[in-house]
Amino acid sequence: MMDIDRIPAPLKGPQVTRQLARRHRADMRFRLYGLISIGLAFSFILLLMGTLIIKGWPAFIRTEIKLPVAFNSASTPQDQENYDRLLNQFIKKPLSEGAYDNKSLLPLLSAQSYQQLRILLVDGNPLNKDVHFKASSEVDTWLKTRRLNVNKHALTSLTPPQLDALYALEKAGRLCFAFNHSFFTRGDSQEPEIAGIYAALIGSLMTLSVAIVFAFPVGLGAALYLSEFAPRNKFFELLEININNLAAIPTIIFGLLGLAFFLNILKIPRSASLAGGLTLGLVILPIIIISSKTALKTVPMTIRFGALALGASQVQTLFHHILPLSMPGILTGTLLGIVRALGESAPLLMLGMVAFIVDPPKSLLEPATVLPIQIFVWAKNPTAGFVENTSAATLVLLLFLLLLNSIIVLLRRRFERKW
Amino acid sequence: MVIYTPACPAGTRPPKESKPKFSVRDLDLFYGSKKALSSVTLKIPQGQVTALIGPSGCGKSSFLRCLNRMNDLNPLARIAGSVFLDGDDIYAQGVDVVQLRARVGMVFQKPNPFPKSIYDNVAYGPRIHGLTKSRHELDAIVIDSLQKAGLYKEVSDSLEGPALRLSGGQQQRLCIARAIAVSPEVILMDEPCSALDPVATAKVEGLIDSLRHQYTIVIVTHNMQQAGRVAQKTAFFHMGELVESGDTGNLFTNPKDVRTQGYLTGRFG
Amino acid sequence: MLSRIIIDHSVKTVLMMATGVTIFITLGVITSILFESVQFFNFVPLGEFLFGSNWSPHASTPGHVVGHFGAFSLFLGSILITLIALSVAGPIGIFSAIYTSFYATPAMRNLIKPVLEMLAGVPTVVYGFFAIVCVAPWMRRLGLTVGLDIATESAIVAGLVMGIMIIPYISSLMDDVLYTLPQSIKDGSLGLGVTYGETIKFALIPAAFPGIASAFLLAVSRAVGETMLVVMAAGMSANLTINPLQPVTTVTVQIVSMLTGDQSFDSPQTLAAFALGLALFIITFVFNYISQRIIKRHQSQHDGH
Ligand SMILES: Nc1ncnc2c1ncn2[C@@H]1O[C@H](COP(=O)(O)OP(=O)(O)OP(=O)(O)O)[C@@H](O)[C@H]1O
Ligand SMILES: [Mg+2]
Repeated sequence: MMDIDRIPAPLKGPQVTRQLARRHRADMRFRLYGLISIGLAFSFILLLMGTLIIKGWPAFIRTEIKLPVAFNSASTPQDQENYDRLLNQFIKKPLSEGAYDNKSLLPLLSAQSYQQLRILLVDGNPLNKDVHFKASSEVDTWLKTRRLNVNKHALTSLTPPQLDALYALEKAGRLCFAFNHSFFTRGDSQEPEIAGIYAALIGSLMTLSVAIVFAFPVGLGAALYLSEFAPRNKFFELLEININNLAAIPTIIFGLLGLAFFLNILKIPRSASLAGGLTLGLVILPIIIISSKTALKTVPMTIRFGALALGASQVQTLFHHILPLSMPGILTGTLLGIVRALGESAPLLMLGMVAFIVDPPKSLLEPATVLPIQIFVWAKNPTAGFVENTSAATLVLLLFLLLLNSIIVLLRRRFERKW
Repeated sequence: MVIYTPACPAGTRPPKESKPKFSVRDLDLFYGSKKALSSVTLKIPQGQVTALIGPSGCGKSSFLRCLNRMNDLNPLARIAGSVFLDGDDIYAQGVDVVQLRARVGMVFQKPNPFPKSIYDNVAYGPRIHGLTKSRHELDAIVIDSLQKAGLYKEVSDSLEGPALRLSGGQQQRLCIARAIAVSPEVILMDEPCSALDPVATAKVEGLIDSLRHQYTIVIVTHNMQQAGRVAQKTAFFHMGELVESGDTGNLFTNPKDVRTQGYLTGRFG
Repeated sequence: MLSRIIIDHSVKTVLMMATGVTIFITLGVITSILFESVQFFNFVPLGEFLFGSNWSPHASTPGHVVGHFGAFSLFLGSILITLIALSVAGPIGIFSAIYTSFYATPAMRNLIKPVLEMLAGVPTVVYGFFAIVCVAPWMRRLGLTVGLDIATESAIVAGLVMGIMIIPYISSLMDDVLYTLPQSIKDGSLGLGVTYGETIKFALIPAAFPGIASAFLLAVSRAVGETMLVVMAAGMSANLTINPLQPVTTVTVQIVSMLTGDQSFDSPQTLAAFALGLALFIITFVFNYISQRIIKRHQSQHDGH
């Protein structure tokens, strides 16, 4: 049989001390792995944010060239050709005579400068003053590289004469930075210095509105029914499992549903914010249902029984007592859904919301794009100007998300209740 | 064989044949600003069962947890005074808590087997301490511990079965087997039978009695009869103070302090 | 009194209709995908779809199938990227969760957890852009210094960034499970003279194993279904390769690429996208379902004792 005394007395003596020291060292290492992991995760966040900020902030400023506009002619020019010729004159004026061949300096200005000039000269009055014109993306990148120490690896297609001209303009103090407000007031463009996120913002707003108008009532209604009225049987059990699964399946599958149902059966036009919004509504519906149900569940049974005992009907109890008490939770869940929908893009790709949108849509049926898709489209373009724009658009998107998330945190803090 | 405390009358001389396993001197324990124990001085003899009794909240568990420094895990807990185990201060600098706890095992109020198999529960300690070199030796330890805990007969054919499927009493004996498996010198038990029915309690009590020759046992209990049945020594705590201690029979029949009298006759607690 | 009954009744009806919409959607997801997929499998045998290695669908026109629809390389690409992602997010997520639930002070925990969860709040298109402008060039340069040619669009870049993205899915869920483990397990182990780290490794983690497994399953299902990031970072070409330095394509990428052209709705490409969608749905459904079941079983086990 077992000999009791054979069992070693543990943990005494020098050998045990050594063993213990080894175990304690292993413990320290184990703990260190935890710290390293968290450090790594934190540095990923820093790297991500750092990259976006470093690459994105120059997009919020733009390079302008101050040109001496001198216009006395009685007749305002009609076509772009003439405006361009004028611009060419103005840009050459501050420069000492050089070997600038005809119009070789025009590409220094943004492609739309002639429109700005046309507006200035539209009334035909003589004009004699310095005017700031937006520089082309090439010049913008060049100056930002020089002054802001960014885009170090950007290649430039500026010719030597153009560069000479730029040096001269800079020496004359005619190159300057200004806030790039058109980034927020214009739609997409082929030219990075003209492209902006306005159309995408409007598109996002419209799409989100559709999603909420669709998903909030339906989601809240379903949550109320499921948690207050639905009979406890196999069918509803199965439905709950299904809703939980809907919340976890890839959003791209909702895109397929949107394509099959909204576009193919309901014939909503491709790229329309209506189709996109309804599809995003499908994406956030399970989120709203689940969080509303959770919020409803936290209202204690005693409150229900109390109200019912006083003779209130089930529906009255619901609207007078349960709903007001669970509203903060329901709103939080809805906001979570909005956060989700605002950053979502995969299902929209399939509805054709990748169109090139210059002007914001005027109705729900017009082609629209949203901010994440705008980012996706720009991200494919490797030129320095578009990398800047993409990063800046990303920053704007993240800012919105941060704002929404702070509201969620505040809501939670404010209404956290212990029953 | 008498526990020496200031509460003991000066005339009774402690016999010399047994040196104390634990010797606690002027022990204070604070949880934050709350004082849970105040200047407790107590000797716990080797090879015997010592029972700690007293009304709820008087600090029995707190005292027990001081003996293997489980209170270290509580950031609020702070200690003054000293506790000697075999003459060494366990709160001295450089003492390895891990080693201490291997020498002073603990069984808790609620049975807390790990969600593993019965075998793995008992083998847990020996494996980690590296007590065995082969599976064969480990088997021997597991079987031996289960036998000592009086559980082997009941579980011999389901050693790989989940421990959580055992009954409460079996689980508690498994926890005792788990503690025995690392060959501790002392076993601390905090109300080990409070979650058990009378039959299971009787089994655990029998087990405690059979273990006392090999291990020093300290047991917290609310049950006077239990203390009378299993403990040779008893210490009575009241509001964080050690009121009196001595031979169980002596203390029960002839309490010196009015508070002890009151507690024993059921006037409070 | 009568009006009250009418109100009660109509409110219930409205709520029931909302529930009906939800039911309609759950059914709609399944039937619409199933319906189109069945049409697809009319002209492409299931065996070829699952195990065929030639994926070149773009030549087909409605009613005239000339391409090949062997999606094996797509599945392989999805698996490869998911594995890379897990090998990044697994260790980092697990050890972060261990730290936050067992070592960090409450104040640290309250700081670390939300910051980690920020990683899950960043839209995936942002990760895609991050992969393009930051990770891909870095990996390429890193590869060159050690003599490896890493393509700009490659499984390793997509997998790495996806790994970063799913860290919180593992760390957060696992932390929830670990943090709520009963103190008695910890006490029981520490009382045996086991160190804190050993207690975590040998008692607590095994006790939380079901929760950890379900966190992983959820992360896998996230990774397999992830779209934007792989569209931007992994590539379009269907390479039958397990070389992570090469561009690979995935199920989700191909769904997108089948549908972003100008094909008509009944073209073979569109139907193929639905078939891929069905495969994706089944895969993620199975993972989610097992994950939920494990969690449920685990909870009831712990409630029972
Ligand atoms: N972790 C803790 N933090 C703060 N105070 C504590 C803690 N544990 C115990 N206390 C306090 O210390 C005092 C003694 O508690 P202890 O658990 O030692 O009593 P007890 O004698 O074991 O009681 P019982 O018989 O009910 O188990 C009590 O007043 C209790 O409130
Ligand atoms: Mg106690």
